[in-house]
Amino acid sequence: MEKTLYLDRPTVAITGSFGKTTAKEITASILSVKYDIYKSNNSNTINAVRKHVKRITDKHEAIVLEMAMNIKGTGKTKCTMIQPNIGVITSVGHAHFKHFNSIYEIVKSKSEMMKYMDPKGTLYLNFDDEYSQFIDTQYFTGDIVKCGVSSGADYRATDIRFNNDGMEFFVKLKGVKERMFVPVLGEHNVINALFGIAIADKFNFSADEIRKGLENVEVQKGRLALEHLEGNRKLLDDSHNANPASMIAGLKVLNNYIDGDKKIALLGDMAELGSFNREGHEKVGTALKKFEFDKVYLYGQSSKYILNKAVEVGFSENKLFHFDNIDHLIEEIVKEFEENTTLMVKASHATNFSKVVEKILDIYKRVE
Amino acid sequence: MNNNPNCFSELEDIVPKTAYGEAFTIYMVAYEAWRRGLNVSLENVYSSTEYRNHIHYRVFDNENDESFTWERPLSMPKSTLRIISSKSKTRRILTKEDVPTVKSKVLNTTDPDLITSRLEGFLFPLRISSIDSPEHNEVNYIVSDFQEIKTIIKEKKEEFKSNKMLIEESLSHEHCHAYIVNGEVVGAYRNVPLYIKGDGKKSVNELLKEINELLNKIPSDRQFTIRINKEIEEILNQQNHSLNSVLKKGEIIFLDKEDEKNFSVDITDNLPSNLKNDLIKVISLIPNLSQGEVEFIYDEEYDKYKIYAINTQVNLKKYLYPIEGSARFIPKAIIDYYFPETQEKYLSDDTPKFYFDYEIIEDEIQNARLSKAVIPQYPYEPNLVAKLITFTSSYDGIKEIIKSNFFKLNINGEFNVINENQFELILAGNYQDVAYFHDFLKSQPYFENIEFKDHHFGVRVGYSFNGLPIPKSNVLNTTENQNIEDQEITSSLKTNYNNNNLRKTPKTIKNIIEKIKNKF
Repeated sequence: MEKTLYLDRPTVAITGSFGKTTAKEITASILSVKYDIYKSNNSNTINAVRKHVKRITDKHEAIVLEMAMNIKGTGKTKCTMIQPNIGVITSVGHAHFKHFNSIYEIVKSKSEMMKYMDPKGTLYLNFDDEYSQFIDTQYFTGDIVKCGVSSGADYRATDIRFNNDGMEFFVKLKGVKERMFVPVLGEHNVINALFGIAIADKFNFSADEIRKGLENVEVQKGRLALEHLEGNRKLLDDSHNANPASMIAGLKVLNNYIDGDKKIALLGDMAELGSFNREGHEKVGTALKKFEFDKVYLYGQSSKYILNKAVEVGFSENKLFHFDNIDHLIEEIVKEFEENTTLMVKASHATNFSKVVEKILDIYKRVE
Repeated sequence: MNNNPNCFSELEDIVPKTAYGEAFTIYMVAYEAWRRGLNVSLENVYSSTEYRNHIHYRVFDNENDESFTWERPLSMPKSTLRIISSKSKTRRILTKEDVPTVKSKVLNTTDPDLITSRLEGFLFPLRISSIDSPEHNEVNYIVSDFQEIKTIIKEKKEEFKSNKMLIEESLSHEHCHAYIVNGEVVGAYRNVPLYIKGDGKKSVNELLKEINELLNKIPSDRQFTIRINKEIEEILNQQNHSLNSVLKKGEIIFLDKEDEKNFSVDITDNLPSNLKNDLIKVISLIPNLSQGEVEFIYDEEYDKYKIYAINTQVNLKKYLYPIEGSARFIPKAIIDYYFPETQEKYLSDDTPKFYFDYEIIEDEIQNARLSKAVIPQYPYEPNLVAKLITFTSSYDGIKEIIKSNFFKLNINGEFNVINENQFELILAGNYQDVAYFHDFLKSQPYFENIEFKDHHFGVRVGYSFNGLPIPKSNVLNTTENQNIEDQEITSSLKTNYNNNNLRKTPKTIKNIIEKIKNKF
C-alpha cells in the first residue's frame, strides 16, 4: 500500500458514468493555457492511476486525472493514491451496471469521490443529470459547484447552438455573460465544458484564457468525432463506448445539430449493463420515436430490445434493420452511405464498430 | 534522571495489554510492519526441539515475504541457529577468529578441588548454570569466589537436574547488548540494577513513586514496578539511607532485589567505533547471519570487551525503553532491512493511532483453537478521523443500535460503559461516516447529553464492546460489577514476562553494586 500523494496544487479528478474523458480533455486544455499540467491518458484503472502518481513531478503545476469509479471501492482506492482537491462527477448513469444492483449503488460509487477527496476542496456536479441529484452532499465539508443548462446552476450555459463543428454557448463569469465555443458536439458536452470553465474560473483564469483553452480541445477518436468525407458525407464516430444515456445524447446530436439530406444511425449492443440490459436498450428504443432518421441499423443480440421497443412505441418498422453478421452489416452500410448522408456509429467498445469506421474511412477520403 | 518512556510518542497507547509480556517483541516487529501497510498473519507452530508452541508471524507485500519468530527471520538456516543457540559453539567460532570471548567450561564433577583447578585463570564473578536439563529449566547462580562455588554446589545440588554444569565468566547485571542489522549497530544498552538518582529535593519515597509512575507507562507487566516494602527499606539501610532520605543531586542508590528486575541504559552512541566494528564482525563471522543481538561484557575504563553470546530471543523493551539515553527502535531497522521499499513509509503518520489486538493470539491461537490469524490491513484512506462521543442512555438495546452502525459504516472503534447509564464511543473512520454516526445518535430519542470531541489515543482495529449496558431487569449490584472488572484486570496481568530466573547471593549483589557504583 502506497502513501497518499497530497498536493498543494490544483489536483483535479474527474469521474462519472460518461463524459469523463471529454471533461478531462477540456479541463486540461484550459488549465494548460496558464499551467504546466500533468494530464492522465485514457487509461484510468487502479494500476494506471498508480503509474500516473509516479509520473507526477514538482514541475507540474496542475494535475488533471480521469478516475473511473465503476466498481465499488475503486474511488476510495484511487483517491487514496492521490487525493484530489478538485472533484468532478460528470454524470451518474447505468454504464457498468453489471457491477451494481441498483442505480443508488452507482450513486454511492461515484460519491466515493466526494468522500475521499480533500474535505476542503471543491466538488463539481452536473445540475441537469437526473441521478446526480441523488448524491448526498450533506456531510461533505468542501464547496459544491453545480454546472448545467437549467436555471439554478452555478455555472449555466445558455443560448446553446451548433456552430462550425462545435457548440457555442454563453456563460456568466464574474457577472459578465461570456461567449464560448468548444469544438465538441452535444449539449451534454457543453456541460462537460462548463466543468472545465468553472474550475478555471476558480483559479482566476480570464474569459480569454478560457476561450483559448477551449479552442485547443482535441476531439478524441470515437467520441462523437465528426468526420467530413468526400461527397458531402459526414461520419459521426461515437464508437468508443456506449451506455443508454450517452447513446441517446449521441442520437440527439445527430438529430439536432448535423445537417444532411439523409441521416442514418448505426447502433450496436451496449455492454456491461447487467440486469439493466433490457431496460437500458429499451430506453433507447423509446427515445428513437423523438428523432427523425431515415434509417436505423442495429447490430447484436441486445439491440433487438431497441428494435422491439422502437416498433412498440411507433417508430416506423420500415426504417429499422437488424443484423447479426458484421460483414453483412458493413456491406449494407457502405451501400447506404451515399453522398449527402450523415452516419452516426455508436456502440460499446466490445461491439467492435471500429471495423465499420475503418472501412468507411478506407473508402472515402477526408475533406477539410 | 532522563527517563525515556515517551521517546516514541507514536507508540504510546498502541500496545495492547495482551502483548505486554513475552509477546512484546513479536508485537512490536509485527506492528512496525503493519503500520507501513504490509500484510501480517500470525500462527501457532509447535517446536519439537523445545517441546512447546511458538508464534510465527509472516510479513509480506507484493515484493517481499518473510516469516519471523520473535524478531528473528525463519529464513535463517538451521545450521546458523544451531550455532547461535549454543554459546560454546559460538565462542569456538569467535575465538578462532581472535575475537575475545568469555571463558567457560562444562564440568561434570562436584569435587571442589577439581573444580578449582579446572577454573584456573577465570575471572570472577562466574555464572553457574545447569545444562541438559530435560525441562530446559536452567538454574543460574552468580558467584564471586571459589568458596561460593563450593557452597552452591554443596547446598543447591538438588536443584541441578543433571551433573553437568556450565561455568562461565559473567557480569550478568551489567552485560551489554548490541543489536546488529545489516552490518550496523542499531542499538546498544547496558543492564543496570534498579536505581534512583537524587535531585537534592525529593525524598527516596517520592523518587520511588515518581519512577514507578514512569515504569507504569511502559507497556510491561505491572509487576515491573518497585515495590516499596521492607526489602527495599533493608537495601536502603545497607546504603545508609531510608525512605525519608533526601538524596543529593546526582546521588545514586541501587535497589537490587531478589526478583532481579533491572533497567537498561542506552550506550549506542557511547560505544567506540572500533568496538562497534568488532560487534558487527561477530555477526558476520557466523555463517548466514545478517542480524542478531550480541551480548558482551565491556569495561569502558580499559576499553576491553569479551563476547558472551549471540542471543536468539531478544527483549526489545530494553532498547525501546532505556532509563537513560535514547530509545532505539530496533523493529524499524529489521523491517527496513527485509522490506526496504517501505522505508519511512508510515501510513500511521496520516491516520488515527490504530493498533491491532493481540487478544485473539493469546486466547485462540496459542491454545490451538485457531491455527492462524490474518491481521486486517492497516486502515488507510484519506480523511480518517478519530472522535470520542459520550452520552447517557437508559435504553436496553444500545448494543444493537451501535453495532449496526459500526457494521454498516465500516468504522473502527469501541463502546465503553462508563457507569450504569453513561457511555462512550470511540469512532475512527472517514469523517463523513463519523459525522453521520454522530447525527444518527442525536436523531435517536434514546440518547441524551451527547458530547463529541477529538480522540488522540490508540484505536483498536475492528469494533468492540467493553462492558455491556446491563438490562435494567438484570442489574448486578456494585460489588458484582467490581468483581467483573477485577477479573478482567487479573486476566490481563496473567502474562507476566520474566525470562530471567537468575539468583544471586547477597555477597555477589554487594560486589556488583559496588562495581557499578564506581562507574557512575
